[in-house]
Amino acid sequence: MSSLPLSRLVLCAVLLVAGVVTVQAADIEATVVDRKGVRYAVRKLEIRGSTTLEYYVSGKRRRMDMARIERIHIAGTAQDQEAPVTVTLRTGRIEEGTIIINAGSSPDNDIAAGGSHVSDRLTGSTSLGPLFVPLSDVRDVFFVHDENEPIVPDAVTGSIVDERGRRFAVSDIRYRGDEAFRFQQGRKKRRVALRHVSRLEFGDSPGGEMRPVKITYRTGRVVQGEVDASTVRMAGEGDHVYRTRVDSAFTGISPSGVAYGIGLKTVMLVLIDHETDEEASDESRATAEEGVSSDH
Amino acid sequence: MPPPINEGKGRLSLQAAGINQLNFYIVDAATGDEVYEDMPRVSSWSPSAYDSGAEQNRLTVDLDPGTYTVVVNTDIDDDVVIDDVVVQMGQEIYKTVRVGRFQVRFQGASSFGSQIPFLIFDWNMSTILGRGMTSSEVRRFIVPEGRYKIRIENSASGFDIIKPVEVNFGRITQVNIRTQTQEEPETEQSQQN
Repeated sequence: MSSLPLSRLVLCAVLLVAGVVTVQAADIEATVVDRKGVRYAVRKLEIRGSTTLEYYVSGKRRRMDMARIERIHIAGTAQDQEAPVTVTLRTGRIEEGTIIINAGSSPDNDIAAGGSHVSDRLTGSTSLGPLFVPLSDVRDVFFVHDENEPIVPDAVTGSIVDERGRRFAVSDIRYRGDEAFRFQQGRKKRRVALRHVSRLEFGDSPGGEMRPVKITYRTGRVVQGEVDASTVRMAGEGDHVYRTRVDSAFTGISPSGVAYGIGLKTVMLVLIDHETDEEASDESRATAEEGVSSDH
Repeated sequence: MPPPINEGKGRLSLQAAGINQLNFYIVDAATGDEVYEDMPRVSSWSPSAYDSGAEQNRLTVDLDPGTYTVVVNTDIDDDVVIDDVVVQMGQEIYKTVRVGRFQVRFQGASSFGSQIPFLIFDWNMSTILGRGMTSSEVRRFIVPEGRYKIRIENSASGFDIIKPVEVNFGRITQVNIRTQTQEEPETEQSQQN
């Protein structure tokens, strides 16, 4: 493999992250349908001034880059503060949760000095001019994607080994509810999407709150860092949030379908499965053949 | 008057609406190498962090022509990533970093000591996004534009408060928090009137 594609993969490993990252990228195009059924063809679409959609699935915060979304459907009524939402990703995965569509009515006058509010609205440009639609009036958003735009896989599978040497097969691995692993290098905060990692190896840190970690990218590149593995309860941290932080840094689903979680204090090794190039090409060939046979 | 662009280079200026210093790094899109980093800000939970008000602008960088990605670290876990930044020789480009600031004014802190830590949550309070520390100095927390909640709890005194924070690009949101001992006299006064 030449060095250029390799380095590009490294870049992807560092930058193509999902979840809690605000990405300011290319313009988003979509067809927006409001609750009265009126359709708008919109360019430069943004929701709350961002191209990242924030919603909650099972009470957990999700932030999804719109480049990865196929469709959004907002149910409920326009008067709801929090409405049910169905987000269909380009991979075909469907996530059902809730979205805040009317949170700007806080009675505290001290939360927005200067008279500003984060407006719960969808904005963009149409052929007739700028568009501003309150999020509470939006029913559907159908995104228009370039066919050449790659589809980002939304779940990683692998194994997690704990400090006692037990190995667990886990699918849909996430780190603190995110698809990216976050670590520090001194004062620098870094993140890498788990799908670009092949191995996370945690070192010992007796009595320390920071735990060293060695990250091996798919490309073979190895990076050292550290993570905050503190089990000290912070003032204001509720039971559920504390237990989640301490015991469920890595979460996923076990083969039996049961939810899996492990804390940073007990995890030793995370191994991410990746298709080899041959497998990937075989699969794509098989998919293509299936498509041909189904056409017939 | 800004200095001229260095020979053979282009200039990238980040616009953060009044914020002069950010922790950020720049990655070359062609090679994946980090070409620049600047980390002047102290972490938000450091007791010694404060804004001097006379910070020199450090958001302008001269770079070789090429395509870059800018990653801006904030005071919470969420970063702001600006993709596809194209720098051309001899030209200056401007990119907006959609971050805002909030400031916590805690009245009655003397009963808890000079500084008190707080947590920054997402709106549903399901995830801790970051930590902070109140301060008698001017101190602003830089976060991506959006909605958050902060919680200050002091179990010894029973003080526990949750405040919503709405952060907009280019504005400084003031969060005023008073202890009960601070609020009581106001109540009495209003009753007398």
